[in-house]
Amino acid sequence: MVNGVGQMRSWRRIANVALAVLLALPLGLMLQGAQQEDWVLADALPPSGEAAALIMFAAMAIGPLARLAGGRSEAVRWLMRRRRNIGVVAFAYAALHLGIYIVDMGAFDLMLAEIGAPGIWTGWLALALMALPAAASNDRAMRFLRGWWKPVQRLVYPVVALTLVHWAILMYGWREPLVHVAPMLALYAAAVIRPLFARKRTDR
Amino acid sequence: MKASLSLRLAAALMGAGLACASGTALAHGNVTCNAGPKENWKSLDTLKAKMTAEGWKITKAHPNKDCYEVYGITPEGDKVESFWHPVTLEKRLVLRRGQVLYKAP
Repeated sequence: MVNGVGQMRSWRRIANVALAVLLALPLGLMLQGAQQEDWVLADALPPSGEAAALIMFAAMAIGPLARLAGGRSEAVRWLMRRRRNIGVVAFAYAALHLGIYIVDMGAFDLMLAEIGAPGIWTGWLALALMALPAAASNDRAMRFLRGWWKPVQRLVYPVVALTLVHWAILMYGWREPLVHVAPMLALYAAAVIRPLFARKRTDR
Repeated sequence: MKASLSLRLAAALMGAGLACASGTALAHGNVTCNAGPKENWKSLDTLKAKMTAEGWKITKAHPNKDCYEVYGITPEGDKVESFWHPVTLEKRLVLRRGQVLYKAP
């Protein structure tokens, strides 16, 4: 029994380290890319945005995954406990993406000149909306917001919509953003559809 | 805000984004210069010198398919991505965050 608990602890420790490495990987790759001779700061814009979006989609996929797994799996329970932190890391990458954009633009008037471009205002709005659930991702905010906490977290749905439009416009195509969001959407769809089939079976 | 309301907001924002984006250049990958064999291309440095003389500030330039792609600031002060013909050094396409600012006829 003691051995089993010990094994569980070491399993979790390894998983925690693996998750931290995985979440830090995009930053590592960006820093590696910065070593290239012809690298310019703007080259870090696509990977930082992609990391923010992918990690956000991953955090959002945990909910439906847990519903499908029924909460029995220890791995899924472990993921559920880390969902909040994963979401905050996604916001950190989004903030880094904005920081890189601001430094790369270098002048307020240049930013103002393009703020009306659909590829830009969608990004600003997505980040502004994402900041609310990120700021509310702690126990104190949860206690303070009470019934409003969940609606604030659900602002990630409009954030996803804005992110997809922002990504498609700036990377010139829908294929890339849709391929990245598809697994999360498939899990949501499966989590919605499965109870309907289960109900039909019990109706008979 | 219920889940359905946040989903409606998501759909509305996506619709607004798509409506605004309808005039943007999602076909950036289709830009072609029909420049012919590379041995006839003028050098990237020649293009950079021409652009600098015209008042451009260049951030980065490299060949992209059969065009030269240049990131920089236009003489008018817009931060853009632009495509140039490698033989004639004519401007083919200028994009600002997906919006077409100039397209060669």
